[in-house]
Amino acid sequence: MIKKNQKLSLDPLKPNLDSSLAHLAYGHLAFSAWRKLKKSKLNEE
Amino acid sequence: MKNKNKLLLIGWDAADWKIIGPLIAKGLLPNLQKMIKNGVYGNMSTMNPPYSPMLWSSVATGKTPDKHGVMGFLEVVPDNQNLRPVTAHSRKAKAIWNILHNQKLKSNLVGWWPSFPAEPIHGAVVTDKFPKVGKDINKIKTLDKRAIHPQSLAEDLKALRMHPSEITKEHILPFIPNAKKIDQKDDKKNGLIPFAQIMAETVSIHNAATYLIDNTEWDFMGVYYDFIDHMSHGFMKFHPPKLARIEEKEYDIYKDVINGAYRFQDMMLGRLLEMVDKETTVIVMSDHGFESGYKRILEMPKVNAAPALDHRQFGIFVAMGPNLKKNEKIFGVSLIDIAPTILNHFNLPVGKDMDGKVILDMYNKVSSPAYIDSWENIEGDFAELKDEKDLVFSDEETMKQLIDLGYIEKPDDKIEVSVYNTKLDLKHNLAKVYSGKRDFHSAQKILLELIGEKEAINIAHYYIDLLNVSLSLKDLKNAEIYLKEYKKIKTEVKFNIHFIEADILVAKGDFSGAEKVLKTALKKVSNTETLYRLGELYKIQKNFKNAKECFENALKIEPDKPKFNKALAEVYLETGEYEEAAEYALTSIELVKYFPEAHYILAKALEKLGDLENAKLAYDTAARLSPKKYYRAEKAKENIEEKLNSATLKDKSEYKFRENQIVVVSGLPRSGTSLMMQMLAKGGIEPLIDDKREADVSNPKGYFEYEPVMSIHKDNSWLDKGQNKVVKIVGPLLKYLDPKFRYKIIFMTRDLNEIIKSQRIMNGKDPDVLPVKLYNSYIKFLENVETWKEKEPGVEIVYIDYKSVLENPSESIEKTQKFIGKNLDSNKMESCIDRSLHRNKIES
Repeated sequence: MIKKNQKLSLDPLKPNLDSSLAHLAYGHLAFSAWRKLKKSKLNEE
Repeated sequence: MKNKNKLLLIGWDAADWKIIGPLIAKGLLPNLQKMIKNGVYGNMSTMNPPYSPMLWSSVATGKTPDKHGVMGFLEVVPDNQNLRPVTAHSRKAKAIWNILHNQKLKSNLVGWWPSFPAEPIHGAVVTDKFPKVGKDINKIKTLDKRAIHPQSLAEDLKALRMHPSEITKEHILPFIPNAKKIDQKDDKKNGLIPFAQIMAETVSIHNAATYLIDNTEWDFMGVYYDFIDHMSHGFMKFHPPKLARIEEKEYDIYKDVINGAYRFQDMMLGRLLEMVDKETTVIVMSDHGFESGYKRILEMPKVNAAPALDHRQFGIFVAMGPNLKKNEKIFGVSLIDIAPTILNHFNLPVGKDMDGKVILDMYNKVSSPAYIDSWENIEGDFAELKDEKDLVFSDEETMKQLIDLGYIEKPDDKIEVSVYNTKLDLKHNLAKVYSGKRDFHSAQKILLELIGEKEAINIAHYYIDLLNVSLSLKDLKNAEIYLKEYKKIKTEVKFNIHFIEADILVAKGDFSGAEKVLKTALKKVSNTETLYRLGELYKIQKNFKNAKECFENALKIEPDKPKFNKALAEVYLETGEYEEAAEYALTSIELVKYFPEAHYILAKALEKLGDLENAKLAYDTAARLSPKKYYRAEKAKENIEEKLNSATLKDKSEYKFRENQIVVVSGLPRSGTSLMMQMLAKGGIEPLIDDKREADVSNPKGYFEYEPVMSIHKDNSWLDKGQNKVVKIVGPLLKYLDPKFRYKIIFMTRDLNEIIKSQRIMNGKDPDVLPVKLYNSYIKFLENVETWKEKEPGVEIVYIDYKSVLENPSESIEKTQKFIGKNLDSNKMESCIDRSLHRNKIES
């Protein structure tokens, strides 16, 4: 489980319950951060 | 000031202990496990029909659907021109959040089914419409205003909705590691699109929940997740063990989905638990379970709400909080108990018109709930919905999802036909509700109206239910008529009618006909229910060997079916195998506590085994659960109490010889006192006797009495003559013993029925009449002896049972010697015993 103030980092190459889904389970804060991260990655590409 | 009495209710639609148990054992649901360890848990009884919008409305109102009005997945729009997914408009009873609003308490509600349109309560409502986003990702920016209350939160919440297209492989692979093997063109039904949709909707709901916990103040919060239910409908068929008809390739792809779904749900629970403080009471519950064994249905029949056929009778209930017991299983929780329990939590009165009860068993400290007649009649602001101004609102996404899940048929092109059939189906659901409440007359009335609708698409189903209701009402004549009519109906759906046919034959006394019907059905498909029915048929014919075989075979396939265990217990009781009877009755009780029949059988088995204390408890439970049906249990309990009363006599002795002790043989008249006197005399203790009363037919070997004993109440100065001797003093005279001496009292006991019978013969009265007053006074007397002996420091006492002396003399003699503290001649003592004198015995 992600702790409050923990830096969010997803490794898309290693999908497992403890990382990618833990972000979603953390709720709105992780979700917003994840969406922002995805958007910035897309912009980089 | 921060509220310290909050309650968080989390709904996990369709969660089932059968999946949870193995996952907890492997440590894969740590958060639910933590709640169980720190709280209470048990089965949640569902209701019939197990359709989620009806059930969650019962959770919210504490009432059955006939009272709250939500009757299915759909509702007819008020202008009668169209259909739509069921809305909060269908609910006619006040929900818990309406009552809390009236009491100035704040509720947050997320995803409740049905909760759209949002009611304007104190707090926030994120309705079931909120996560439905449709195909177009651009649509995610728009949302019906009525999906959220208050509007001040709408912008923030809208941004937290996830679209299925946002689901990435990182989210999918933990559930479906071989997702790349899925052919998306060929496998749309099981494929990734429905998976992504369910996943995205769940994340939207969870985001809204965590947002509201972080950003609002609340007293009550209800969050409803349909994740497990939707995943189960889509993927349970692939869950291990593999069903024969599932292809290896598909099994390999989807076999991990269900376990993954439960684990993700548990992760979300972990986050919610982390966000609330320790003072918050948290409840996790499901509305029904989900079939995961061999009974899983691969092809749904074309009947109303067919997927619900996979719903199991028991869901889950877990609760943790400051005043709740820890790690304790509780029993008898029902969906309708939740609303009364929440009201009680907030110290509000429970409506007497609510069908549920406060779950008092879960509390450490119990205070009596307060009651009012009804919340429905209370004037004031309850933030209920007003009549609709804008009649038709489209909800294509929800409609499509319900069709995809198979809950509803795609509406007919002619919408009026769909409206007509839906109206009938909702009425049918109401009949099912009445049947579930065992109000068969109301059910029959509705079903008779329904079979009059000859154009109805589901008319065959109406007939089947009418047949079952008629049989419950023992209306055999009409059942036969309906069966004939049913057979004439041309219907695509084939219902199994062998149970109905067998029931009719049994009711007519044609057992061999019923047996033939059931055996024929069994040859076609081996089915546990058919085996059970056949077993019951053998049982009523007292063919216990065949009955046992049927129940055992049914249990091999479904070992956790309570009624199968109970049926086998009954057979063992009949065949005199009481230990087995108790074991199977206990198993059925373990599976479902509210099973008065099983408690009654357990009680009978325990009574036969001589475990009277527990038999009494079991009779008591049967009588409490079903007082009308088990009035016999109350009587049986009284009998046991009597037995127990006479069995609560306790010895009091240090088993040491006392200088100048007076040995007293006592007891009720005809309890074997003369025999004991004779034995002690032969054994070596001098008796204090005067032989004034001669031997007679009642005591052929003499009475061994001492005349002054009869007037001991006037003069006990002679007692010193009894020192180091043995004297017979009947029980009622013991209280006149002089406390300055030390007494060793051998108190003879005997079955009170035998004593009374023997006394009546001696007095020339009818031995078969039991004088109840005398019986009760003897019991009272024995109780008094017990009290008296405790108060007398000079008195030691042992109870020797007359029957034991006859049947096991050496043990009784040894006990007697030990008590007196002196070696006696055992052989001579035993030589006194003549079993032929045990007349008037009562055979057990």
